[in-house]
Amino acid sequence: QSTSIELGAGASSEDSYRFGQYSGITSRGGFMLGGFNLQNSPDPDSAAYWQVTGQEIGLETGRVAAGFGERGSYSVQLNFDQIPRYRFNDGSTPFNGGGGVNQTLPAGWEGGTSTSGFAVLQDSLKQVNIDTRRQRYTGGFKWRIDQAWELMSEFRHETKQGNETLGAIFGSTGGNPRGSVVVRPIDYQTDEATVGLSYSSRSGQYNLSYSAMLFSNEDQALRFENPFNNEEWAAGAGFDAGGVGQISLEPDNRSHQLAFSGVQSLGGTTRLSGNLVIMRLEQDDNFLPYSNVLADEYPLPRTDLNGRVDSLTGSLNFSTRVSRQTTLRLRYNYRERDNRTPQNNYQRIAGDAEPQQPLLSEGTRVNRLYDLQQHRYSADLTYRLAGRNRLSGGLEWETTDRSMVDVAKTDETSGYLKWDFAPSATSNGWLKLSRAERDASRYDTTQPFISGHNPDYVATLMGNELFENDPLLRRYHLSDRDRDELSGSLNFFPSDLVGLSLLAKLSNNDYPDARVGISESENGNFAADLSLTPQASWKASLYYNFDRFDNTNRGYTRLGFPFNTPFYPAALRNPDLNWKVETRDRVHSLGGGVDWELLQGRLQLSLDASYTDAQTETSPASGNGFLPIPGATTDDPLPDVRTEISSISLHGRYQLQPGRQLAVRYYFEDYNSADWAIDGIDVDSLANVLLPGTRSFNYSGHLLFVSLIFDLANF
Amino acid sequence: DSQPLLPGSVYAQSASSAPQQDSDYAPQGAQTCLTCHNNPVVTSILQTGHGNSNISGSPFANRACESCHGASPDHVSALQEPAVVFVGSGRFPASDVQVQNQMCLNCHQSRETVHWSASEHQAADLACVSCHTIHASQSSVTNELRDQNLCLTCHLEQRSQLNRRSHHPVNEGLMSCNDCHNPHGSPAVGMLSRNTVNETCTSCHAEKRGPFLWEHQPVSEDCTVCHNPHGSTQDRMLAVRQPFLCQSCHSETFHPSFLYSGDDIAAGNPGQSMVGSSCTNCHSLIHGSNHPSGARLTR
Repeated sequence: QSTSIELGAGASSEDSYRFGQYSGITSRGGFMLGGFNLQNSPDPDSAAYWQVTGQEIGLETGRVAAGFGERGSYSVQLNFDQIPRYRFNDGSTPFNGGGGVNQTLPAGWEGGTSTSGFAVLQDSLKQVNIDTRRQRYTGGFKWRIDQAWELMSEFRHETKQGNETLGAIFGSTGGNPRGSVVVRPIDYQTDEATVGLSYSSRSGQYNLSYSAMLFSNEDQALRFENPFNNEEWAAGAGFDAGGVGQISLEPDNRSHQLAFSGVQSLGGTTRLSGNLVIMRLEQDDNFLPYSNVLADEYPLPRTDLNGRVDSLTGSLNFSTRVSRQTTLRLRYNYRERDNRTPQNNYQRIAGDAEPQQPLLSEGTRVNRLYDLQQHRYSADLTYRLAGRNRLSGGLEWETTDRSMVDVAKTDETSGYLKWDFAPSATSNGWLKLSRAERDASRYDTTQPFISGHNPDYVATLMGNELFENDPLLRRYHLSDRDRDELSGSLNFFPSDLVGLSLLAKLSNNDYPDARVGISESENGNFAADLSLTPQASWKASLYYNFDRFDNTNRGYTRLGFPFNTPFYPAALRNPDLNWKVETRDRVHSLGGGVDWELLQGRLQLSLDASYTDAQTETSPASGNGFLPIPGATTDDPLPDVRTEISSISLHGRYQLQPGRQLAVRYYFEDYNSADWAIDGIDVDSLANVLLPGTRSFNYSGHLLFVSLIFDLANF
Repeated sequence: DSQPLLPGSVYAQSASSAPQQDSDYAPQGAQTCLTCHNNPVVTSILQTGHGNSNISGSPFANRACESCHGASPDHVSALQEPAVVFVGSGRFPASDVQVQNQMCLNCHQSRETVHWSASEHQAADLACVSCHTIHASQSSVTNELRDQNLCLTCHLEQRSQLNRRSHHPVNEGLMSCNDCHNPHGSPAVGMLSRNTVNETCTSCHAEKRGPFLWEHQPVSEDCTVCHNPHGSTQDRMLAVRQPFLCQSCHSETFHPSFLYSGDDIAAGNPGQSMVGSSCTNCHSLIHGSNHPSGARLTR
């Protein structure tokens, strides 16, 4: 590393938010950039150091890092970095407000009962650019007080600003909602500070730290006018002219955390390590009113949530080498989430500016408190055979208690066997077989309903009315599951010049009780890597990956009167209303790279290329014999969702003369995609929801950087 | 006595079977070694903190080369195998991984490595030098992590996922694997740098941690119930496309229970639960709502 300054310029050929999604170079044209690396001269007689670096200065990804200290004694570090994120710039909206918290309709807006009735929509549309940028200041210091004690501190100040889309609705889902995807502001700030003390002895190392993390959102609510206002609505339908809706945005929150970790040698190769972390998360932003109108008639049970979640996590690990061949590892993990937020009855009023329904007990919801308590015990044993062969195996038992969900307790038992082998000095590999069985105590689909509704109302219902969801639904993260996995790897190194690695994995998840929900999913991966180093001056690599993911989701179409088919009892279910959707992802990735060193090291070249083809097939199928009911049970095929990304990256660095280098970077990306969720879907394609009307990205872009690097020490 | 974790003359005891005396060490220190090992690959260590004798606790402030390689009198006198070999060759195979790693941990036992002994990498017999190049004038890991080649050399499945259209900006060099993972070990699954999946995710996405009045249960339990953080073929790094992802857990009367198919994207009749942002066209506060009437995550 040397003290250097880089000055350069670049150009992009493409106007595309996707092409520059993480670089910020989203438009055609030129730009300047620079960098620097300043540091003290190497001094073998001193442990002191300092260094300041800057990269991609002039771009939205520009970052600076500075540090100084005395090695072995103390260090101070300060960093600044940024992450831009450009999502799309081909959307449009009739709303004024430019991504602010007040989204208003243009003067002269003519509403309608559906988007087709928006007479001045096309003339009112404005382009929508959706992007955010994170800016992060981090830093910290470490001070070795003496041989045993070390004090450290870290801080982070991070902002995220920009805008995002957000669905803003009137009306009730399950009824006749009307909505608009509007542009909301993003103005977040996160501050985090940690201070810690470490103690090290000849036989142990222990750490105690305190962290605080404060999140604040500049915007607590978004107000939006109702484009569906129209006098054609029947009286009381809920879409009065001039209606203004309000949606809550993310509240501020704060957490405090106290953490202890440590490792103790118990002699020989035996170690005991663990940690204990206590954390409290709080939130008390003022609530919005139930409704923009008639707020006084609908008093809130409290002005803010006074939300509080306490969590406790911990671990205890024991590892030892029982013999020269045998290693034993025992681990215990504990996780507890205790939601101590007060519970109250809240009215579920579907939307602002509507004729408000009376305060009915069936319209009352109770906030659910999701608690979780999890214990995980595991044991692993490794036995080393002759050579580099070894056998290992492990067992794990995880038991989880949850509150207010369908399953109060799940137990998962898993185990694996792994064989590492090395048949020769130039080859090795491994084979691993694992199985996991998760048992749900009792799947009680009435629990979410009972815990989320007013108890007075629940008491009036029959047992077969206590369902939010189909009682045969089995949520895949809670239900019984059998998981089998087989994986293996082979590596060949016939010489120092060539290496070949192969990796394969097949994983199957079976949800035996899921007549509704995910019944089966399967993952498969294959990877092949070839590396070549024919000469010291150049090396090459080639890789191929294939991933597949199959998912089967089952459902049951539940319609109201007159097609009412009861959820329960199961015997009365109409098999014609069963359906199945199979999703298949297939992803091929091919890539390679070459590194050259030419002209006695004066020229360094690096070329990388990659190609990814991702395809998602979706196959719906229904069991209906006498239906279909349009929009409910028809099973017309869906086109594939496809993304093809090809890229070429070339880096070159040429030593012009001592102390001066020419650097060239070239990047090409060809992006082709198709997505039925947005392609051909215009702003007003949906009758009830106003969309941004974006399209899939398709482009070919070139990016070129040229810079001069001056080595100040040899300039 | 307990096995020491800190530097001192005990280095060699941890590495070789026989205790070593002061007289076992080369009398001329590094000069003895450099007599033969005088090539740039080796001597580049002199440009690093390890090779700086002015740094308290550094190997060269102690027994120089033998601080890490152990006292090796037979190697000096008769070219026998050194006490500790980190990168093996045809002549001298690498020492037992645990012996190698203990040499590093003698000095580098810290807050970041406290869980190493119980880590997946340790269980896989990964040597410190599998990732760290000690005889290098630059911090190899720091540099290599930026372009991810290091981790993805072994984690090929994640390499493929990072190439998918929806991913964290790791390939772009704006994030690194150790923004989320601690390769030196962690009590959390996947060697995450924070205590749980959610604590890791919400360290950057703090707006999603609530606590909200109306929580979405999987959000409060584990972000990976719905998201694949290494990359996905679906938008927002979702594991499965909407509405089918949502229908995995929601089958209420009417629209959550319907079968969505090609009929719902047909021109003139697209379904509002299917196109655009699908379910989140309306249930837009999917990570939780703090509106008193936001039970359905629409307000």
